[in-house]
Amino acid sequence: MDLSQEDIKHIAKLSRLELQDEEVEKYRGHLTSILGYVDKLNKVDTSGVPEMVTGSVSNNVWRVDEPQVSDLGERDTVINSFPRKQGALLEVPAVFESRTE
Amino acid sequence: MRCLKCRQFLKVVPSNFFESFRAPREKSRLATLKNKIMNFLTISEMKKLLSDKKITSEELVQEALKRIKEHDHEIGAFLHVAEDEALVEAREFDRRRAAGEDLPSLAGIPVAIKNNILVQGRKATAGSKILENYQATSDATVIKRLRTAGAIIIGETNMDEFAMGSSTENSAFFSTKNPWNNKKIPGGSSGGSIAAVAAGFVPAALGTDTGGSVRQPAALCGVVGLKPTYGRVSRYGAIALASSLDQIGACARTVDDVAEVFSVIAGNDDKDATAVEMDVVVPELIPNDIKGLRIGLPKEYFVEGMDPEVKKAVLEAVELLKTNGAEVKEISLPHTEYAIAVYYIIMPCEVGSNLARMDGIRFGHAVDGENLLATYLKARGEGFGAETKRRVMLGSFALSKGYSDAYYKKALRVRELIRRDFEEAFKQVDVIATPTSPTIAWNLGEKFEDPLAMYLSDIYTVSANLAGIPAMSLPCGFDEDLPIGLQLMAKPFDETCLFRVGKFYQSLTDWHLKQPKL
Repeated sequence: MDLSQEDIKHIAKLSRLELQDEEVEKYRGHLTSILGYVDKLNKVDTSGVPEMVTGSVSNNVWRVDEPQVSDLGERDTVINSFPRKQGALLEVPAVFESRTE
Repeated sequence: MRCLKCRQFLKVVPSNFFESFRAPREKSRLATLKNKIMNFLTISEMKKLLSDKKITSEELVQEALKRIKEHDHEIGAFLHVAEDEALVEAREFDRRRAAGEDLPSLAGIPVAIKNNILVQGRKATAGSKILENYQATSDATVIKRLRTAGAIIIGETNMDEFAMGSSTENSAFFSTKNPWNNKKIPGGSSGGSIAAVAAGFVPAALGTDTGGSVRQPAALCGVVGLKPTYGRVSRYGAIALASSLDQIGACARTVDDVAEVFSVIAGNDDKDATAVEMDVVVPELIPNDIKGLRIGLPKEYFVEGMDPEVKKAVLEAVELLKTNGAEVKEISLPHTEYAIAVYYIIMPCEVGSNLARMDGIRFGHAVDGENLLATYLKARGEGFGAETKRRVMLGSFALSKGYSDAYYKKALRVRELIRRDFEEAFKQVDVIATPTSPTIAWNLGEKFEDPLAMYLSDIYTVSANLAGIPAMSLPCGFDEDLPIGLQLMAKPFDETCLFRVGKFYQSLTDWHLKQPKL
C-alpha cells in the first residue's frame, strides 16, 4: 500500500490533525512501511471466522436507571477545567456558523 | 513541585522539604536505619516492620522522598511528587497504629501511579502536552481500592504519551532512564512506574498494559510486572487507549507483592462493564510448589530475532522449574507471526476513537481557531506528539471507507484465531513460558525514528492482550549488566497459576534481589 502526500493530508483531516509540511512526508514514509508490514494478514484464511471485538466474553450489564447525585467538588473541578466558560457553562465555537465541508 | 517542563527534581521540591530531615530525632533514627533496612524494602517487609513497631509509615515515606530527591534527577521516573499529602497521610496511619486500631492490608505503604490513572486533585497528563494542565476530577476505581487498603499515593510517574511506546521516550515532558544504566531506555510505556520500583523509590506501582506496557519495562528493569486477565481490574478512571486491550497492572520486586496489590485492585465495578466478579486471590494461600505443573514452550516464539543470551536465560529458568517437578512440553501457537500486524491495526483504530475526546473544547490544551474545524485541527496538531499522530492517522486510515474490511475487520478475524491458539494450548499445559522482550534494554534514541522497529519489540507481549489472558514478567537473568525477563502466560482468570510459578521460581533464585547502583 503506497500512500501519497495527498492521502496523508486527507487522513490527517479525517483525524482532525493539523500537520506541518515536513510532517506530511515523514508520516507518509512511516504509514507506508507499517501498512506494508500488516499486509501479511492477507496470507491468513479467515473464511468463517467471527470477528473478535472485545477482550473477553461480553455480557449485557444491567443497572436501574436512577439519577445519581454528583459530588459538588467533582462538578467544580470539571467546570474549572473548561478552557472557555460563561459562569458554569461551557462555551464552544459555533457549530453551524461557517461550515467548511 | 508542579513544574512539568522542568526535569530537575531539585527545582520542584518545596522550600520546606529539607526541614523535615533536620528534626534531630528523625535524623538520628533515619541515620541508623539507612542502608540497613530501609533500601529496597518490599511490601511484605514494610508490613512486618510496621506491625512490629520497628519503623513508622512517616519514616518510610520520608525515605522514599529522600531517595527520589537524591536520584530521580538521573532517572526521571516521577512527573509529580505529593510530599505534603503523603506525609499527612503517613502520620495519620502512624497515629491510628499507635492507638491500636486494626488497619487495612497496605496501611502506610507508599506506592506510585502511572500518570494515566486518575488521582483526584492531581494532574493527570497521560504524558501528553494536550493534558499538561488537566486536573483529575475523581479517583479511578483502582485508586479508591488502594486508598481503602491504606496505600499512600506518593506520586505520579512518567510514561509514553497516552501509553503509546516501548521506551518512555514519547513522553511530552522528558525521557525516563533505566536505573541499571542511564544510557538505556527503561522500556515502556509504564517506564516511570517500573523505574520507580526498580530504583527502590517505592515497593510497588501501578501501570497500564495494552500491548506489554507493564511487562516489557518490568523485564528491561528487572522487576515483576503483571497484566491481569481482561476484565479482572476495573479501568474506570484510567485514560483509555485501546479499550478492548487495556488492563491496569501492578509491578513490584517480588511476586508476593504483586499478588498482594493485585488482590486489592481486582474485582467488578459498576463503572466498567467489562470488569467481572471472580474469586479474589488470597496471596497467603498460593501453594509453594509446582509438582505436576505443565509448562508449554511455544515453538514459534523461539525463533530468529531473539538475543541468544535472552533465549539462554529463559530456557535455563524453564529447566530449573523442570528439575523441581514441572513437566515441560513444546506447544504450537500457529498464528503468532500475525500478532504484531493484528495489534497495530486494532490498537490504532481504538486509539483514534478514544482520543477523539481530546478536542480542546471541554478540557486540555485549547486553541482559538477561526471556526470549529480549525479549533480541533490546531488543538490536536499542537497537543499531540509524533507517535500519537501516527497511530491516530493509522486508525483513521484502517477505519476509512473502502479500507475497513481489508484492514480492521480482517484483523478482528485473525485476532479470534490467535485467541483460539491459546485456548487449544491451555488444554495441554497450565502455563506458557516465553521471553518478555526479544532483547535487553537498548540505547536511548536507538529506535526512536524507526516506528516499525519499535513496534516489533512488542512481539512477545501483544498476544496476551489480543487473547485477553493474564501474563506476568519476572527477572530471570542478566546480560551486559542489564536484566532479562521471563514471561508466563495462563488461561483467563488464572492469575493464581502465574503467582504460584513465579513465587516458586523466586524461592529458588535471587535475580529479583539484585539492585542497581544509583
